[in-house]
Amino acid sequence: MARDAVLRVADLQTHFFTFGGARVVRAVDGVSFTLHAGETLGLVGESGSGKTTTCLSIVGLLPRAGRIVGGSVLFEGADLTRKSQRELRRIRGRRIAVILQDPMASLNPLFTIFRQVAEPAFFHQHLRGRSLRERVQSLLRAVRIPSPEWRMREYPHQMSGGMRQRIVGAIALAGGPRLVIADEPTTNLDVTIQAQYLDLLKDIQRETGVALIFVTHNLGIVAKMCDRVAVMYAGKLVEQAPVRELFDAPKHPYTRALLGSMPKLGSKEPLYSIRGHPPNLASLPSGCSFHPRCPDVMPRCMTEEPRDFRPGDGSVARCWLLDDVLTRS
Amino acid sequence: MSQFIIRRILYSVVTLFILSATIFLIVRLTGDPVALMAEASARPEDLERIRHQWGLDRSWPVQYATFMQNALTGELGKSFNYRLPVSELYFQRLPNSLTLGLAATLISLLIGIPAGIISAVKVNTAWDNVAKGVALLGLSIPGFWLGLVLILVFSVWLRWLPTSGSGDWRHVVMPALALGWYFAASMLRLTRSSMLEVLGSEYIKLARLKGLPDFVVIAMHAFKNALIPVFTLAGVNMVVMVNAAVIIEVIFAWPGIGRLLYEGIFQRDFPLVQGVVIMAGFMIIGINLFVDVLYAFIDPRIRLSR
Amino acid sequence: MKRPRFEASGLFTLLAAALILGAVASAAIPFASPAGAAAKGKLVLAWHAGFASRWLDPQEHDGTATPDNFFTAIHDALIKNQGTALYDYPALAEHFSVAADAKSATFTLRKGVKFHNGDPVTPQDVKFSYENYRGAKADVFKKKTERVEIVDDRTIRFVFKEPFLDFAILFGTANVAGPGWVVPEKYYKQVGADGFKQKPIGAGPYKLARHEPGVRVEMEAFDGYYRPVNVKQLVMISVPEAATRVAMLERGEADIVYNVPGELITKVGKLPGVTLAPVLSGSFFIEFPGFQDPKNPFHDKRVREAVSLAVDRRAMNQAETAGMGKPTGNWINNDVQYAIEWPEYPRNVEKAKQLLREAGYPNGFDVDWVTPLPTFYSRGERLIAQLREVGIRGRLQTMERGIYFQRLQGGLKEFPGTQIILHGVRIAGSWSFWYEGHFKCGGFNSRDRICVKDLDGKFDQYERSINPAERKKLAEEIQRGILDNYYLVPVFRHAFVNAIGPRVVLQKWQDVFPTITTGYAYPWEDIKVKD
Repeated sequence: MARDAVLRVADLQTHFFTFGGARVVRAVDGVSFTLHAGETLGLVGESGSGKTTTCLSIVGLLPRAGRIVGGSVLFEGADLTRKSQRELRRIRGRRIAVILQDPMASLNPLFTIFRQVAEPAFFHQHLRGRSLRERVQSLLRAVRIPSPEWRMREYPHQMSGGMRQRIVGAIALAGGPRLVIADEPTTNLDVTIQAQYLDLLKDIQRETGVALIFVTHNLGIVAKMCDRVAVMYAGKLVEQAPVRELFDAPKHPYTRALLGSMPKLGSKEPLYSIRGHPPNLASLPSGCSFHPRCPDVMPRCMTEEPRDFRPGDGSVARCWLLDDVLTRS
Repeated sequence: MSQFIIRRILYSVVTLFILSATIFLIVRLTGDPVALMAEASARPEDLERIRHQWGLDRSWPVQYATFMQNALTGELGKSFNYRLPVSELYFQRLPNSLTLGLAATLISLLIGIPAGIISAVKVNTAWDNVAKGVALLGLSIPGFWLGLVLILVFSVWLRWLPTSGSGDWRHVVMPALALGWYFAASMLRLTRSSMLEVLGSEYIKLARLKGLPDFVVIAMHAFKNALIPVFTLAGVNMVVMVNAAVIIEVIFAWPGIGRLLYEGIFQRDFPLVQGVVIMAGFMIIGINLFVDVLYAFIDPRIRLSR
Repeated sequence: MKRPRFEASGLFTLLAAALILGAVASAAIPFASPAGAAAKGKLVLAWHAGFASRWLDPQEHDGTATPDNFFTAIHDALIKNQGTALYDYPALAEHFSVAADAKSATFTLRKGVKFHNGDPVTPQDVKFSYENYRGAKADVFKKKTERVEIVDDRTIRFVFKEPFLDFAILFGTANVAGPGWVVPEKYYKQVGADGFKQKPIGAGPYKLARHEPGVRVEMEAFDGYYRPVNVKQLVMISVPEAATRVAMLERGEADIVYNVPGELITKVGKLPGVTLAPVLSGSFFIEFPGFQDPKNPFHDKRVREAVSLAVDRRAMNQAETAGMGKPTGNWINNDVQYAIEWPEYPRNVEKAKQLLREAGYPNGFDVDWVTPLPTFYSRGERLIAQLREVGIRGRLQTMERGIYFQRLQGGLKEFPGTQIILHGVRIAGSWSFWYEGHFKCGGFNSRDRICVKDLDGKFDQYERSINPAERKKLAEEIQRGILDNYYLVPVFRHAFVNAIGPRVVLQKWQDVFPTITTGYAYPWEDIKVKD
């Protein structure tokens, strides 16, 4: 690797313990990936596949019932899973920032824009007074909010959805992060605004060199935004590849199904949907979790969990099909 | 904003009118006050004389018209029993009731809100269960029982506090506690549920994701949002406490408005009952207006909307 | 421009304002004496109900046995009920006489008697007080009085149109009427009737120091009073809750406490230094509305007698007043003119049942309602239980006090069917006042419920008579007629149980409650407290 990895997630496992531990939901079950500065990783999958839990695990902000039970998250060399909440708080908002899905809900309705954008800079970098004001204004300018001096005195409800999401972006940038995790940031926006927002993110990344994890279920956005893509299913990373390779030659049947289910402009074919339904994470099928729904299922898949296979073009896929095609990797 | 206020004031005036008519009717439906003013061996002539003296022999519409006419000039009639203008009696007792009401409100806020916040932040832990138990006690223990027990323990056994009546701060403690206890419980529950709701919201999540210290997240971000409904309730509660804390005032012989109203009802002191109810209504409406305006200041969504 | 950190400042300002307001308000309330440490020469009375300002003005006496507790402290009368004197204790008048034909009464004022403002009490004030009187029985006085003569600077004569035998009783009994209580004419006219009730001035042993309407009255000894006043400060506080009154007594915050309820009597009696004062009050008796109707089971005298035999007066007395009342024979309390003594009625359940069988009710019968005087519902319940033993079955009817009196005034239609009323009344002044309103046919409270013609006839005779001996005879005959025939069945004489704290000087409780016509502790000037 030419550049140092900003984030190195290795075999991360996060489980949820409910009913006093009687029920265990394996929300994240052995996820590994690496991310470099300036890189954008797309995290794709259905709802419930573990995308959001992975993100929350990285910053250590899981709900009460959740716990990281295995693996490591190396950020700038230090393992976040070993850090206390106190230490993590110093990293959150400063070195790692998060953008959430619903911009209206993300902003506190009672506080001004200034207050909310200034907070990370205030707490983490201890900026005050004039320098704080200027920082906020430059942040707002960076996310292309016009007339920031008087905009920052306004309240969230006085702004449009697109502007609000940009404010959330400004909040994310306020601490000067090295990693930004964006959890479906455009899902609630109009399509036209989406495009603008994505362009903004790309520009900011180019300027600041920040690493970006982009969680989405929209493959179109993936194609536009991401350098690499990781596909999650039932808490596992089933395929990881550079974006071109993923779209041109998907390896895992699930990935292929996802791509196949994308509506094509001008096509009059009926929409393809994956048969079956998403698994119950508390009681996963044996062997490969996808096997009940897999069009290419083999007897082996039902009993043995597949391991990672590297076909050589930079992609990784967890499927027994690859074992037949290749010799030992 | 001013349009908002003007509209609210207009509604308030209409409400007051309706209130006055209602209480006027109801009070007269309870029966003849004259029989109570001179009982046992009174003769019909005595009663007639008294009735005429107080204008009770005129028809109801006439009585109402006279009453409203006077009310508009601030004169709410004269109490049968005390021979003082009702407004004078009311304002004489108002400071006492205000003191008690404020003290009880303070107690309910000081106990209810922190307990509710702790309960919400530490939901489903031992703290939460303790707080829920306290709330249950508060809502179930009747005020008069608590009042009497307080007198027994702190006044008779321990001799720390005086039994009853008004005076200095030591006289206020027990009645305020007995009165505020119930409302503390309802504050606790409301704060708890409101906090829980707020704590589960996205902006709190984002605040945490910003790496803000827990204290800031709770005290700044969550607190203000969660307290909006709580303060509405506090406002209404306070008015109730000021005007209708009858049981506590009777037990502690507290010279307040609740007792005035209660005795007025039993004595069929029409003008007094009417006057107190209208003043109380006035106060409720005033407080509601005040709280609404307060919201407009706290919540920019209201303030800045057309 | 950065907003201040504590945006919740608005809330905190509100809280701070509330705190300050509360502190100011409580500081503005005048200081009461420190708890438990009553000052020297002070007596505190805890009154058991609310109190109306008009009770400080004898001119608008409402005819009940309530205002006298208050106005006897501030005002004084020519003659009044004090100690064992029923009405003729000479107070402001050092001497009075009623003419032999009862057509006039003459009073001579004591020398040097003054009002609290220093003005002398003059016959003019007496005349004004009498003529301006608007309270209970005012019509009687007005109807019967021809004129009031000021004979000289100390003598007044009341001249009547016809013999007015009850004049002195009506005039001198504080719990009946108030024209004999002298108010200062000039001052009364100056402040008006309403102003007078806020700041009364009288000729009594105490002058008003502070008046919080409905809450407390504070009074100071009047050093111009013609009798020595022992306690310097007299305070009367309204404390409606019984438990609180008892707590005040225990704590030393009150020296005299009225109306200790049944269940607390024994406990209070055991408190160190506390003396119970079980003042005998009015009687509770049973009335049978509409018994003149032949269809009514109570029409038969035997049935009424059975009721009397069924009532367990002693048990009732024990349960309701810890035995401090008196199972009585007469329903008229013995401190009233012409009241006769009557032996206690026996209890005999067997005989009662036998009488019922004879009357044709071998299995008893049902009574629609048993209505006790509010709020003495427990007595009604006990009565029902006692009657059930002989087979008379009834249900308790409760109602608010005002409604009760309203229904009494409504007559028989308010008590349809077979009913029993457990009435209670303290008869004041003369028994005839009671008979006229509560027994006589057409009486204001009795209406058509009773109507015993021959007794009413005797009563008319009584009213017309101007011969005291004849009146006495008639009065006694009427009472005997009622009691022999069980038109009314007396149950027991209620005890108004008060409690006296350790600071009050006494050998026995009657030292503090010497006046037999009342349950209150006047004359106030005679009470002593320890140093």
